[in-house]
Amino acid sequence: MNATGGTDAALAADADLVRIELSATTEHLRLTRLVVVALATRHGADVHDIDDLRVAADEVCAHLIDQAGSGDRLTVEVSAGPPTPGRSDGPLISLRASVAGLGVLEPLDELRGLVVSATTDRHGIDDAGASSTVWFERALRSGADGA
Amino acid sequence: MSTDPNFTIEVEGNVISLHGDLDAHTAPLLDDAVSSVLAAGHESVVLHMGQVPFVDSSGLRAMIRARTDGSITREVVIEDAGPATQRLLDITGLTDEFVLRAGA
Repeated sequence: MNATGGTDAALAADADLVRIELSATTEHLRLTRLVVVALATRHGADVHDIDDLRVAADEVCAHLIDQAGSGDRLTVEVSAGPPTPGRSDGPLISLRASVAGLGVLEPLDELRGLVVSATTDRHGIDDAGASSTVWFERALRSGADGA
Repeated sequence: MSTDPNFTIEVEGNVISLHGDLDAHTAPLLDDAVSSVLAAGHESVVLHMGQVPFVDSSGLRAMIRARTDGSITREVVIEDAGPATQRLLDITGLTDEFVLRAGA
């Protein structure tokens, strides 16, 4: 699944996708941060990339968890792919965090919105379907994979 | 005070020393620590954050609550703020709400 909601037939050969499903509780925020950092590091993220991605992943997941109920499940998909011509010079990290059945989500509050805007290139909410999703994209500033 | 192995808080006088990530899961523990400091009669709070590698907006909100509950505004000193804490304060424009200093 790509970051804008469509479904790719197959990932590029040099792309990675990690999908985790957890109970939608704050105790799992740390795990989602670890997953994003591990994937980004594999694609050459530097310390600045990592700091931004870690906080962005945390904030979007926390936003969903805030609105989830007991028993809800949080699904997080993180993908890392090659640079997107015209949009990114470095590898592109995409994250989609979803909880089923939440309906229309509250918008990000001012503080959280500031943080996500500052740490990502694009972000948004997709809540028209069966799952409510918060997503972001961020190109790594550090350059080519493995650099 | 904390039973989370990845996050601990120690309180001594008005100094609250945090160890670990300050996020939505652990922010309530900071609230509890601040409450205990204020209940002991202290009028200011010192947050030692030299061992805090990560802070999110929930953690920042707890820090803001330490400063004011709406009726009273008190001094909150942040000691040894790490890069993550400083960046969050810069992003949100809240640096001037706190006194930042290096620890002894």
